[in-house]
Amino acid sequence: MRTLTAIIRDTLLMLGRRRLFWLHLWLNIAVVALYASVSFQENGWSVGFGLKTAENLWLKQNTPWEGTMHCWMIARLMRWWVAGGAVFFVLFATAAILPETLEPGGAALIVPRARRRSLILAGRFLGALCYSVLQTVLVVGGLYLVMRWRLGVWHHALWLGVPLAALLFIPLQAVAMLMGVLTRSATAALLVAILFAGSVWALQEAAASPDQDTSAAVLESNDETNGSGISEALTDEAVKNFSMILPQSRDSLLWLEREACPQPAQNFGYRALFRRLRVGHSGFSAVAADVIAAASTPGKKQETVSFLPLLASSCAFTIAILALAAWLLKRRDL
Amino acid sequence: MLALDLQSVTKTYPNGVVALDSLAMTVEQGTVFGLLGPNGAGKSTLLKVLMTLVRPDQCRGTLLGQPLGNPKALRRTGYLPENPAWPHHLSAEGILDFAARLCGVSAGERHRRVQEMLDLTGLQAWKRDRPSVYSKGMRQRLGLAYALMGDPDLIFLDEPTDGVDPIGRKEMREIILRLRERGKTVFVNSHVLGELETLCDSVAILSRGRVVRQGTMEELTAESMRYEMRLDGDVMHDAVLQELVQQLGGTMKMDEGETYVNIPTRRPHLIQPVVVAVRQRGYLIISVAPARQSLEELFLEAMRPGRYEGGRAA
Repeated sequence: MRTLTAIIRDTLLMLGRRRLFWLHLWLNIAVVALYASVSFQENGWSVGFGLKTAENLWLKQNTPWEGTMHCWMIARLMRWWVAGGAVFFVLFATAAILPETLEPGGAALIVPRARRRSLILAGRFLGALCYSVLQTVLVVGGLYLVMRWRLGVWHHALWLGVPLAALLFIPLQAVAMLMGVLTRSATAALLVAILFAGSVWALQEAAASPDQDTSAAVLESNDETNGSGISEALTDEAVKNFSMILPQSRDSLLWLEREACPQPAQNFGYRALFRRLRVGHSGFSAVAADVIAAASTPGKKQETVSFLPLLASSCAFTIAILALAAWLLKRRDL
Repeated sequence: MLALDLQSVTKTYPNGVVALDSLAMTVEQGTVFGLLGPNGAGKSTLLKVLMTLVRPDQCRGTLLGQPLGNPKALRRTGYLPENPAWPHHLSAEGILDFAARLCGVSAGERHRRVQEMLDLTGLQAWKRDRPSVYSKGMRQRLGLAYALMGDPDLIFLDEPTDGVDPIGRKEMREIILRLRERGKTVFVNSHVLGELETLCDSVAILSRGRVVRQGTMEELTAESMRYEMRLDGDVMHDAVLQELVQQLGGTMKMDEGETYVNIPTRRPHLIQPVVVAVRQRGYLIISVAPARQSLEELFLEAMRPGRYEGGRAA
């Protein structure tokens, strides 16, 4: 146990001394500051702590639209930064730790002392996870405090973003570690992990698209006619089944928005907000408002997502990949 | 009692290179053991196998009484690799603290142990610096401190004095001898033959993954024990002396105005007739001294093509 904690501590120290740590920290602060800079006045709203103000008939202080705007901002920041960009940023910092450890001169220092290679793998993985959690706690904590300041509520559910970001991070880190064992290249580890994340996302988006649900019906109807769509339907089924065994990153983001982020009041949804914001504007602002309003379709909201399958799929996948990495590492000459 | 007892260790790399070929050797506890061999003989591979960095194809033997690779035995060993890649994020003190944590040294003991190692290796003044600013010699000393952190019974040192200046080498030698005094076993893998000769109780010579010679210096050089007599001037023309030397199996040769008489024996009374004859004839004796093959001579002889076939003396 002491050996494991020593490696975890060393991993945290290693990551903490990197420039990426400070860059990530400053980006986290920037994200919180960006959210904090939005305020609402009696006649409208402003960004940049009052630097840019906009008068608006609906979006102003003490209106339901103020809450809707806060909900929308928190949801975007949680989805695109906490569970998106920040996860990849951590991966940038942590993908190299195992290849660096396995460099001949480095491995010779740590492997005989650690006595079991799996301990090194576990220690580096858990260290990376702690680092990820630490960065997430900082940004979520900042958003939590700003919400209290701006909205006057303690939205405790926001903290659910911490385990969810960890659930999104661990499969990617496991893939990076597996590649690190196989290639001992930090670049390969990072690229494959990113490629994996993209592939999983694409597969799950494809599996969740509305026409996928009707694949059985398509199969049946084509079977009755000329059978030309059978292979397509079978492929769709295969994609759907394959995506089930992968970490459910798409559903995780839906769950994050649904459970962790505050929800706007009924009849004061995002779509309505941005349609109102569009009034009186033209050019880029109007296009942006239209796009956001269109993106805020209620369809996705109706999908039911529960946490346990997300937890199970992410953990099971990570454990399987780490077990494979440990098995390969045990058999490698260093 | 054997610290290391290897009966058969074989390792073939994926590219077909046979690094270790049924290697067998023993190392007594409480001794300084030297492993010699030309580049590519398998010295570093052997240490990597013992330290579980490289997986052997076949491996029979014990390390500190335990099967090779046993975590309990590894806990009692220290290892200084040939080219350690020190972490960039830690100072020397931090690195030793990490080593102590890996060894499972308790929190209370850790600080004392780190300071002790810094004192031992003379790095106390530079403990807050990172190894990247250290000289090669300082890095090697840090490596020694790292290897000694868990108070191991058996210490493997791979080229410990590589790049170290003469003063550093002397300090390193003193530390190794002090470790032996404390009953530790030190396994040194080095190219510096002169150093091993003064340091080691026993040596093994490795060639193409096999031990071709092993034993104490006395055992290995027993055959080459001789008495060497230096005489002033040319006495090669003296037929009586020539005959006497030949009767004892010795040789005479002339070099830079001096005559060297070599008599292959370890018993001093056998050379007395030669001494008496030389004095009776009025030649000036410069010196008479016992001599034996140097480790370098022994090594070069062992490496001579055809001298050893399949790991055994021809």
